[in-house]
Amino acid sequence: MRVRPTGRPPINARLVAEAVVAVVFLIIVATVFQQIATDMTDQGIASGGAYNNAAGYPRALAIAIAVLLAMRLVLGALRRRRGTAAPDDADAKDIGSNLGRAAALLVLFALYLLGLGTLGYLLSSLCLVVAVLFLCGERRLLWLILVPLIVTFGLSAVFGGLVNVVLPRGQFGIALPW
Amino acid sequence: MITDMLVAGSALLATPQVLGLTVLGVCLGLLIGALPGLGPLMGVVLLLPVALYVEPLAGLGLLISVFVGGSCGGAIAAILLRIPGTPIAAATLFDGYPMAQKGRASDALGIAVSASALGGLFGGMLLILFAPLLAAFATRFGPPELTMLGVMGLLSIAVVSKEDTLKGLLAGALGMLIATIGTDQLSTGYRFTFDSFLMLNGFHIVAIVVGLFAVSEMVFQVVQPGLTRGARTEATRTGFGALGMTLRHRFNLLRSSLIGTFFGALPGAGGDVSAFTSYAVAKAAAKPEEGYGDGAEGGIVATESANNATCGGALIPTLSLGIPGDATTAVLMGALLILGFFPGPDLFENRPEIVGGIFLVYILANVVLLIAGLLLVPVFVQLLRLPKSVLIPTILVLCAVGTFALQSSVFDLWVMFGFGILGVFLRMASYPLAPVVIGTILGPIVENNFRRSLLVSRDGPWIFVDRPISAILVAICMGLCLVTVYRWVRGGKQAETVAPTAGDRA
Repeated sequence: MRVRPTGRPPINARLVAEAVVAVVFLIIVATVFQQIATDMTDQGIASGGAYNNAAGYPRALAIAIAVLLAMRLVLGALRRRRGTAAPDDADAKDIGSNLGRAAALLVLFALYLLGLGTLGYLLSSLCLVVAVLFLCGERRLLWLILVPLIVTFGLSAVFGGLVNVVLPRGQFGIALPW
Repeated sequence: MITDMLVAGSALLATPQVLGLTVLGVCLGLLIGALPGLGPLMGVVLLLPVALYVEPLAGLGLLISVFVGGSCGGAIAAILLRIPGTPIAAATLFDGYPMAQKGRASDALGIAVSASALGGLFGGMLLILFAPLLAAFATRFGPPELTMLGVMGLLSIAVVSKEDTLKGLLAGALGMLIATIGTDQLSTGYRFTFDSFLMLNGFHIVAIVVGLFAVSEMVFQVVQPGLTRGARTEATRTGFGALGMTLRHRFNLLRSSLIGTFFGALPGAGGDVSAFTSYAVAKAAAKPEEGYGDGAEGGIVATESANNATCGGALIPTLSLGIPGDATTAVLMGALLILGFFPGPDLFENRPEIVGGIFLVYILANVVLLIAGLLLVPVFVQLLRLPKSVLIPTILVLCAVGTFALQSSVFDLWVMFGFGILGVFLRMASYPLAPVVIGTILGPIVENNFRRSLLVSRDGPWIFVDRPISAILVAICMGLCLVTVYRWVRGGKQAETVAPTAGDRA
């Protein structure tokens, strides 16, 4: 009697990440060829000798990426078919099971980068440190007050005071005297 | 030649800024290395923007001493918590943790610091001896040899690395492609700039490195449990008596340092490979009564001397050939390039004071490690109690401020953020990150020399096999490719043999 496989291997975080990375690589390869065919051709640097041809090297790399990716995908498919695919590793598993917290950290960090221009370094850094402490599960009031102040003013003193970096002041123009 | 370099370098070294930042770097390195999840690479990445704002040798001294201190700091958590602070300290817990369990934590920490410093000094001596010799040999290299050297460096890192070779190669190619963004150095045409003036110089290497390593690491840290709890550690007291205990294992120390330096100089091998190898060799050579795996002093001496000697070894190809041995030396090489120093024979010929200064800073960092390490380890042990909930936001703000400080550019911040997300997905999919950085740094060197080779060639690409040294390098590259194919085929065959077994069981 012919036995048909009944269950598919469970979708794990690593497989999803592999798919995302493969798509990123494909987009990069497509962009290289699109840019060579349009922008670089318009500039006259997509052909000619070694001096003028600025497209040959990125084209070769894009082809190499495409070939390696194809080999990788074929190998991955074969391994999955034979049931010998690499298991979900610890890193991927952790992210997979705490996706919300990982995404929240990235969103907070993106908001912080946006806030640097509008609120300035001091206000946005205080907000980020409080928010991340809270995200990490910190609920002690003293820690939620002291840590943001120490981190924000400490790093401002190092970069502003010692290294003379002008940190973003934002719309309100808030800056420390150093 | 070596003496001249060292004399010239000593003039640059003897300034309060260089000496102060070297001491600070070792202390910060020990701290960063001790905190689980961080490590020397993270330390070098986070302090890179600061290093670019001070005198060149002071900045390099800061980074090199963080590298040295961080390579040792991992042992603290390995011995006390059974969690290696860094992967290179993983082998240290075999004997370090059992020794601590027997009430000898202070001895174990003292031996780890002493062995690290002595191993590092041994690696430093070999660095001073061999780097100038290799650089002198490399003066014969022209564009074809430099091209093949760059390709060989990247191939060997991908092949030797623990991860999937194909993924290593893909990551390396991605790094090389990233390096093509911006203005082409030969034709002065614009590549992949999308008509944006922000892209004319490509992506800043610091933004790439901080994003890939630091931001992605914070994402992986934030999903761990128990972020508000600090580690519970017992009080320790270390002293110079540990130096005597370490020197009782002098043959082991010398052998392990030699192994560490060798693996350090081999692109891709790194500190963890050297530590495990030297541990295995030391265990094989030891008498059964030494009790390896059960708290043997020799086990700690072997792993710690090897992983710090690796630092000196890794600097040999980085300085003399411009081929970084691992991600940390790639970042150090990036710092050198940003400061306007191009590693390779020219650096030895034209800027001997910088090379000599780097040698001396490396030696000084290990001396400082011995003294400060033995005296301050109890302080760093207390810092292990710092919860990760404090570290994560601190490092995120440091990433942003450090990246912004480079060129006061908001664009750099978004590049860092983008590479942070890319780093998360690459790590989740088990792609090694080191080849991306090494590819980004080696990319322009490989491309420019490749095109220059073709310009001077009368036979087109045959120039790469017409010249003897280049031909040897081509043969090595082909050998590395064959190793990749062999592994691929073997991996497939192993899969075939495993699959029926699994089926039989079902």
